[in-house]
Amino acid sequence: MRFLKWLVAVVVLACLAYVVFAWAWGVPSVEERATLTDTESIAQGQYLVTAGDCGSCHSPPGMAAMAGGLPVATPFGTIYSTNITPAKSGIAGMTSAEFYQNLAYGADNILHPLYPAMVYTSYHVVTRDDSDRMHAYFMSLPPVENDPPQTRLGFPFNIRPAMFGWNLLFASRAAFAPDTSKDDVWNRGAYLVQGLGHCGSCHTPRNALGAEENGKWLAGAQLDGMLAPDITATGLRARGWSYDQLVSYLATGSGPRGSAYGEMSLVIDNSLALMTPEDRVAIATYLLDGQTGAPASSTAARTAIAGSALDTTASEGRSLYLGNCALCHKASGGGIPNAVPSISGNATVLQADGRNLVAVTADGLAASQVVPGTGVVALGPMPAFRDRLTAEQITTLSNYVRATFGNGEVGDLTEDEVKAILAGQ
Amino acid sequence: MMGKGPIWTRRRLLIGAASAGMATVIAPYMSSAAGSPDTIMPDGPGWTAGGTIKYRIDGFAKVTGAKIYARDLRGRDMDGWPEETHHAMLLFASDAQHAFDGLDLSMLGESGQPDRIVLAEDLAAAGLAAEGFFASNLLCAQGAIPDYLGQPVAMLIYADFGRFTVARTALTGEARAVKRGAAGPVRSTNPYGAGRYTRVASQSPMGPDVFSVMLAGDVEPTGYDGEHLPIWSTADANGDAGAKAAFHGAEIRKSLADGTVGKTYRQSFLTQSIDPMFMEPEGGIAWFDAASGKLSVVIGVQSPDLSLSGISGMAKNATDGFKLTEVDGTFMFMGGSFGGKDHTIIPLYVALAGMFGGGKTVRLALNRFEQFQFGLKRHSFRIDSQLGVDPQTGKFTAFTCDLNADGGGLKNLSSPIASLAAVGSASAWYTPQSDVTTVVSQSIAVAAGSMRGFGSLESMIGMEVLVDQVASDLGRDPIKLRRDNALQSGWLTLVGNTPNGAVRTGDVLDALEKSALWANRAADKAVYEADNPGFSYGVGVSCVMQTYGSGVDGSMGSVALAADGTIGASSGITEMGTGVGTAVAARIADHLGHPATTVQTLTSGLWDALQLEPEKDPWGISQADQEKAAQNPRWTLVGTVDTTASNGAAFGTHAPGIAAWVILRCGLWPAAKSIWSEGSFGGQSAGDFVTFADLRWVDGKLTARGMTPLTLEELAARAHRDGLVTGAMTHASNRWDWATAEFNVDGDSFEVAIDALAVQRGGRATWDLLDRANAKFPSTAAKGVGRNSWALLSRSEVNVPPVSTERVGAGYFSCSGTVVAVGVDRISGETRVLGVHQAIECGRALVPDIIRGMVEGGIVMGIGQALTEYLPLYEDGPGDGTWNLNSYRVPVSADIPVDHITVDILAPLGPTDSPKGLGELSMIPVIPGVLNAIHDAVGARVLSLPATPQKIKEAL
Amino acid sequence: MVSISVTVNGTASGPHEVPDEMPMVDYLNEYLGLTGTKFCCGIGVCHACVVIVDNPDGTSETRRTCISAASTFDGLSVRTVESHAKDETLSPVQQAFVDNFAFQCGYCTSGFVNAGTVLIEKLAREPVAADAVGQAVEAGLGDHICRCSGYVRYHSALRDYILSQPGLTRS
Repeated sequence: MRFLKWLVAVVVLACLAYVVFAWAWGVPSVEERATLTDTESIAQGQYLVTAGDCGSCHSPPGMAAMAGGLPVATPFGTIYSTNITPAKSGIAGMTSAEFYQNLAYGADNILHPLYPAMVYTSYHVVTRDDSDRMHAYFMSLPPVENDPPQTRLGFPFNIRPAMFGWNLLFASRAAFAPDTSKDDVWNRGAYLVQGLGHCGSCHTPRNALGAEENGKWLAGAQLDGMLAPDITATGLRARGWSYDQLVSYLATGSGPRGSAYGEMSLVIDNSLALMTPEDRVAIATYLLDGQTGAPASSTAARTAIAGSALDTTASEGRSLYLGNCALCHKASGGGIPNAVPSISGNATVLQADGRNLVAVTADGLAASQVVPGTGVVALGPMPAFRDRLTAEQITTLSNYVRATFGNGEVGDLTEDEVKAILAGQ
Repeated sequence: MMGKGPIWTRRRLLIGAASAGMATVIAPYMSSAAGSPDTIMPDGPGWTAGGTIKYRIDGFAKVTGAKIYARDLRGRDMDGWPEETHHAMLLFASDAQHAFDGLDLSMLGESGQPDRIVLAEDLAAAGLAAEGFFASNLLCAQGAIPDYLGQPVAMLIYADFGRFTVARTALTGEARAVKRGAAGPVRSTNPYGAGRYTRVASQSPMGPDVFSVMLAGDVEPTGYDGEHLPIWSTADANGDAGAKAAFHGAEIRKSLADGTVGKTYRQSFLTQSIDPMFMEPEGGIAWFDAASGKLSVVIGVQSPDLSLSGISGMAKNATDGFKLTEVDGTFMFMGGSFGGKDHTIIPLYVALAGMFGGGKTVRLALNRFEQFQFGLKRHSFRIDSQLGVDPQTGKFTAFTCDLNADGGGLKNLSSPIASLAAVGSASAWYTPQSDVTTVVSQSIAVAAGSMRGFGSLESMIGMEVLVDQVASDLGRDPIKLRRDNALQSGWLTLVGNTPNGAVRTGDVLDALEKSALWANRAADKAVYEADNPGFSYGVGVSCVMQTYGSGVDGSMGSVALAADGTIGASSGITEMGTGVGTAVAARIADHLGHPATTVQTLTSGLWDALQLEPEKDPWGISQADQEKAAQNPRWTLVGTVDTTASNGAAFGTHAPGIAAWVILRCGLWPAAKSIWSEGSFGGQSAGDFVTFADLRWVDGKLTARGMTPLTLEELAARAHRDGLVTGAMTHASNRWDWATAEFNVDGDSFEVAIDALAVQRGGRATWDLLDRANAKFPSTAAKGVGRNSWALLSRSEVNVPPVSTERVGAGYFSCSGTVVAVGVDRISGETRVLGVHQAIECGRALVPDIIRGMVEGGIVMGIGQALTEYLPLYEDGPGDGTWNLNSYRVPVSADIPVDHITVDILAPLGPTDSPKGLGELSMIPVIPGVLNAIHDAVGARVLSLPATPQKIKEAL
Repeated sequence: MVSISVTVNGTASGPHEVPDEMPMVDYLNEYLGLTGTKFCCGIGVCHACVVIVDNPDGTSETRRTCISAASTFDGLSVRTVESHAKDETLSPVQQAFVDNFAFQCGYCTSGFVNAGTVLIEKLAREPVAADAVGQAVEAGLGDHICRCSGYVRYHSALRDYILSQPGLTRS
């Protein structure tokens, strides 16, 4: 009896303690500032919103822009993006302070914090001034009354305040800290990549509780069956990326290292291609850690001679390649500029685990959208071979491609590895 | 490789096609000729069952994959041709700033090397060069800077298809094959043409004008300055035409500047370069028999005669072994064209492939990358307009328009296209004062040429958007504003010329006003916006009148009625998909009560029976010379006819229709009289005075004033038995008016709108050629056509077919208007076309289903140009050889409101209305309609095409 | 080079020695004289060149022949546009397109006919609700480009035919 009382007391105290913690720590108070209304701030805000690629989640295809409703599947359930237009069903009346609290801390009140699908885990790097400009832009938009479905996760994740605990463990709140040993360009890149660009949300592996793993920043992560590759300076250069190639890739989504596909093509279309050349240069500078020389890999050299130095001895792999791939990608692997990505020297081919190569071969790719006037290269559709080739043939084909165009930097895949990828594991 | 293994040849379907040859240029006269696709296909059984047309006459062949396109044929398909077919491809310069430094084909390896490489030096050695209309460097010489992006540098010929196709794939988009040398100056020449079209009306819009192009003649710059900019005459009220135009033009511009003509609206509009993107890339086969000097080609083009004369012109100074004695052309159906296969230079390369083909059949067929790189494009225009409006009445008071087009690397039809842009620049609206200038510049862009809309599409888009701007600014209803300013019947256009027939703009505007899309727009908006948060609904309207016909048009027809009542017809025009063959069948039913059973388009040697002696210079001939020439009963103003300027229904079916009328008049009418007068005392006809004018077809039977209705079979049998006229072959000439002549058949004399006639009498296969009497040809002065009015232009335009002048004198117009509904995302600018309604006026609709299909197609193509289609002009454009449908977005069904496209074909004014052209017309109003709808939806005025979300966002 | 044997429109063809990367459309056009299969874009966008591949399990699908080499059809059974009409009688899809004046120049027609044929064969196995026919037709023909453009008529012709056939829809 007494023991029970103690237990109840402990639980109550624990809850009280958490409430106190949530109240005290959950939503840092920030200075109230008047909403900016000048056109310059609004224009700057629009650019920052583009840099933050808010649209890819808050403007679902075929639906109203910024009005939310995109279902985001997570291991914990489906999260729906919210309406961020100044509508009653959106963010009408949200002050610049509340906006910054959501952007940086993922909550503007202790009862209803956001889930980290909203990447406040990165956006905390954004300065308050930039946040105010983004706020100004959103407030300048026409209100769109659209009520997206409510996010309903299973217990215990449906207890939103529990997120403060998650935040305490995993969500940094540190403001951007420039590295004084680097130049302004590098630091601008760091600000964009760590903050608005939120590159880490895809390219950094996550732990069991869905948080980005410490010490593996940008080291590559698996996202629904595909690999968001290692984009650390070392990783990029190992796959042959040169500075120039990376800069033009960020603008066009294409180049000698291959093309953007899957989620990344959205990022190019909706964000990177619309940024200033200076900012793309800054991003490339930061990602390659200021190394602008030729890559360590011999791949670049290999690309130049592709077509003349190919091993043309007949093999089943070569037959499969010539029959199924060469009509677009060429026997040389060189592809067709602005239409078909090059296989020779393609960074995807140089991914050691072969996941993306096999997945794309199996399931194909939709044609990219054509946006006249932007520099984005709109590539044609890639057919799916899952139903045309056996796992054994896909293995043979993949290994031919890796051996021929991966210039010995990636070894063979086993049929079991390929089968696992085909099974989406 | 070829010939190995079983070949499923379809030659049996091609018997006769190879005899469809013509001698051209070398022979004393030009006759029409072509592969007659309808002879190589089963036309659908019962396609005209019950006397009505159930489907396109070519429908059966097209839906079964029959060989009807030039790309389908190989040597083995052609009688008398070498079966062995070799394959050629062109290599192009993708850079026009560095010298062509030779080829590097190492990537093809040993086995992949071509069997023959043809370079500029080989053409020079053979004495082959393009001349006349096509004058240009067919291949860029090694060491020279290419004249333009995409200029051919070499032709590779392979004897073996297997090696060819592997090399073709390897070379696609392969920049290294054509080596770049030292940088050099980019080619820059004077513009291809420039003109000034100034008009000052008197009190009456019906004239006479104070000043106009029609009165004063065409005005060109006196020259060009160092920047290749036109130098216009200095203003002088008493000077020559140019000086007067400058004087009046300056006055008009001053009145717009100082506001004495009311409120002035200004607009600068940009139209983009686009590709016609017909589905069948250009190509064909050729065979050169060096021994006889006969060159045979199979191609699909809109302008057969020009292709043949261009080919023969190449060999004017040919050395031995390349001299031509005959060019034999077989012209197949086109897998789409839209103007892009009109005056195309590609047949010259097909011919070259044959001439360097070692006596074998050689096939040259572009792939899509090559078609984008080398095929004709639509001109890109910058259009700077000013429109004076009386704010009280909303009447337009003055108009200026300065049209600057980029013609790309070849002159082609740039000059006439600029002229038609000027003619169309006021759309369907009347302004008493106007001053329009055109300059079409040379550049290194891929050559621009004819495309659906031919210049006036571009200028009308600008005007229709400007008119919408006026309406919204003055708060006037855009349809009412247009009605208040519509050019009326008998009024003068901005070149000072009267449109033929009634101008029905008012009828079209009424129809638009009644359309559900317009009438219900408020309610539709409420419903749509409630269902689609974030999207704004808008409705735009646009209405244009577009000329059809080219100013000198021919028409040829042949109709033969068999004893069993079946009707075989031919027309001298090629089929590019518009359904002209079916229209011919329909027009014949006017007089024979039944559509033709079979129709051949551009039939072979058949026309020789007319022994035509066409005028060599129909555009330049003086009135006196014409009257003298017309004394020769074989002389005609024009020979064969191109498939161009929306002329299928109006011109292509004219002569066949009259041929059918001659059979009715000289075959069926006497046959009917003989049947109705059978028996004693004059038989049943004794009771009434039956005249030819009383004849009527009722339920497929011929009757008159109560006489027993007679079937076509009965009449045909009687006509054949009695040796009456059962076949007629006709030729007609048009210069914004038809030539007419009298003919006497067995004592029956009549006047008809043809200038040559041959008849077949029952039971006989031979054609009897008849002499005409009292031939009347349209005056060379009529509509300002002819040397007197156009001396300046015709002298200075030697390389441009003088249709440029004829188009300015345009006399035939038809009108259409469109209502477009869109939904626009107010934040992203994403635009969805939700519905399109078009009201179109085309005289008498011969085959309404075909017209509806064509208009629906024009609507879809208009949506593409309005929203998605775009080609950069220069280095990053199609000339770089990397453009294809991945980067060039033509509409797919998801981009258009498949279930909300409606077409209202206005009823003709009466049963005798002639059919009018509408193929180009149907596309034009859609584009400004979309732009005006976007403005109605979100208030964004987009002034450059295509209207991308980005541009809409910026305009917001 | 590779030796291939393909069953085309029910007739065994080959063995033919062809280069590994010879496009199937070229094999049909050049070797078999079957030019009803049309080349247009060459990179698998426009779908003018699709033929029907008949799978052993009785299902069938369209495949683009401009981006698939003849070698990848070795041992397969395919149908081209030439296969549908039997002694001057059109197949239902062909008849529907002809009756509705669906096409103009006709160059895209082979692809539409083959795609439409695959669609109605699929619906015969797996009928859809009448109100889903529109989406089914869009899914079946939506990738095909017709420049002339017959989308309105191609789609309505096929929809009307499907709705007129009790076996192809379920209530």
